[in-house]
Amino acid sequence: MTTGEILIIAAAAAVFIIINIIMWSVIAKKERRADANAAPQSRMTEVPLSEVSAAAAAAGFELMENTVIVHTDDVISD
Amino acid sequence: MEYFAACDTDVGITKKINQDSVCIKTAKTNTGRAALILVCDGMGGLSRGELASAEVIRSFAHWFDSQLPFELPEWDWHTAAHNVISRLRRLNAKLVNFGRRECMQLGTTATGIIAVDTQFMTFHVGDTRIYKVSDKLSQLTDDHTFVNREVKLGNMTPEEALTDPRRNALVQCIGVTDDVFPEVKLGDLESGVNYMICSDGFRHVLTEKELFEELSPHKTASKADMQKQLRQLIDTVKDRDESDNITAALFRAEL
Repeated sequence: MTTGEILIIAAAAAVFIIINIIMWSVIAKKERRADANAAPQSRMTEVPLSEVSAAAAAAGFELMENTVIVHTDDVISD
Repeated sequence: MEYFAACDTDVGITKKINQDSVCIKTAKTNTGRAALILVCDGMGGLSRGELASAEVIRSFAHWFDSQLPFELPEWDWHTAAHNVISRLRRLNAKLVNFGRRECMQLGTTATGIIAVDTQFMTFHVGDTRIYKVSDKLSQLTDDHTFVNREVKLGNMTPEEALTDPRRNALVQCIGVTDDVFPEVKLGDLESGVNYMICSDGFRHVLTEKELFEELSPHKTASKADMQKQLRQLIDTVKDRDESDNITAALFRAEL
């Protein structure tokens, strides 16, 4: 095998490796984004965490919008 | 008088846990309306950031439901401001003590709006921002970051601050240092003007022009429109490879 042939094979191998690296990088990036879009929010709590007391309601206080979003059920006790 | 509010949050494309917390509450009262809009960004580099942000949100949510109704008959903004600062300092001490006890560091920003009838108060610790969106976009809060402080002291240009490796370092947040000095401002609500609170993950890859155009009052006439515009911007942020959690809340009064 001549030096020229070896160089051509080496160049072809290098191009093949570079194309593979680019291709797998693009695929990994797309998969990561798809996973992020599809995955549910972890441990999300969207509930009325407390409600207005009867006394407050009697004083004319009425909740119209009540969204509380936290991402853990753990609490720090006083 | 009518209050409109919406919020959205997303874990983003990189992190496993969403450390942000958000709360929107509005209520009808004997005199008109009251609202609490609050965004807390749990510190990305610190463990249990989601617990820190949740603690602050729960504390203010509980205050809104259980104490505000009885404070309203004798509502005074200066007393309210004093109480908010005290609450933030108590939360700071609680998180600092918990961190010491458990040998961990946890922290969060805390930036919110309390509105009662035609007036409002902003309170702020950290780099979560409040913007006013009217016929232009204005930033109502000052970032409590190292680079912002250096720019104000004249030690750094705004351009250098944008690329400085310390640009995310906070000089104040809840749960890290022994004391905090919350920034509190009082003001009159403007009818038909949007107030937006967002974590840094929401705004990093969006331009001010985009924020202004997509969150302008005419594009967010109803709560459903507000929700749609927030989600659309969050999707844009994710498409642009933002690595942080993404959270924003929008509030408007129609007087």
